[in-house]
Amino acid sequence: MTSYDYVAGRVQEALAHAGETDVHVAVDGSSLVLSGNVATAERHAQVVSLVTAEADGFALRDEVTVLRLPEPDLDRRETIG
Amino acid sequence: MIRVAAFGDVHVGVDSRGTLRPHLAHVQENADVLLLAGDLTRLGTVDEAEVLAEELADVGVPVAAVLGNHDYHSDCEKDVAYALESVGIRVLEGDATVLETASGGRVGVAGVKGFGTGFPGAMCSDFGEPQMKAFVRHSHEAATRLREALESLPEDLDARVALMHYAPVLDTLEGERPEIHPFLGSYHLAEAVDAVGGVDLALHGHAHGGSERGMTPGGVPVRNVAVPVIRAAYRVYCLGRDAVENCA
Repeated sequence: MTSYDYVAGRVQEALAHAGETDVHVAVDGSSLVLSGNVATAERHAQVVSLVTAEADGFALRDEVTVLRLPEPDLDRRETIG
Repeated sequence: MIRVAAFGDVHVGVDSRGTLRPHLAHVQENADVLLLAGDLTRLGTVDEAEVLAEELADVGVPVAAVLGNHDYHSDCEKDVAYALESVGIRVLEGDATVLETASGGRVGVAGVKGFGTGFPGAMCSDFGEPQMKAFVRHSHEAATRLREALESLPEDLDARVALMHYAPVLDTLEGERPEIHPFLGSYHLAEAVDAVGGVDLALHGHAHGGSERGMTPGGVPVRNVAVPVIRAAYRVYCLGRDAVENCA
């Protein structure tokens, strides 16, 4: 572990408190890497803002995606049984 | 045949107004009932629950739901449930309901949030500190309530569904990191489903990085309907008599 891991842990906990449990934090060299999904573009901006505040001065690689909900694919209806 | 639409883990926030409802506009054409597998809000606040209720009101088919861990986060889970029930959604926690479809079908749904503890090979046990024992006992109690709810369903049903938030089997956690499996589900839930018999389908959410399909050791199909997994607004499953002929 490095001091980056402590920061990553703090960031992950801060994200959880904000309800963003689907955003994951990893350490890659001297960068924090964010991955996972958020529901809206607004929340994506909030996540970046929160992480920037929590990990001030650390390099950040943002790979978070905004999850779009497509219409249900009715060709993928499944028969059970 | 009963067509069950299901989803979970939509994490509606106060910024989500109008994001879910358009996807449900045609659900009554595609399904007979709609089941919601928890984590319906982001932080479980009253404000979020009100937005959620607006999004889910008048979808045109009977709806039942369980809550998830996010819906408990603000200690307002009763308010979240009340908001959903105010728009006609039956919220289940250790109890059961019979949903009557427009065509006269009867779907029994037993629901519980469930909890973690894990699966044989990597699981928590009722041993040691009070906090650990409380964690494990909560999971045991949830499974017991699910079994009792399933047992309470009447005989004359067209389909029976066990609805949970936490996962009952490892199969649908495939893709999740093994380190977090004990926090994603518990084999006690599958044991409860298998103990009762006659369950057509078990649904859950919670495992965003998991996979859709699994099966209990007793042969009950399990489906993870977390929206990050199904990558759609909902999934439709056809159950009961004539499903094979009529689902396509």
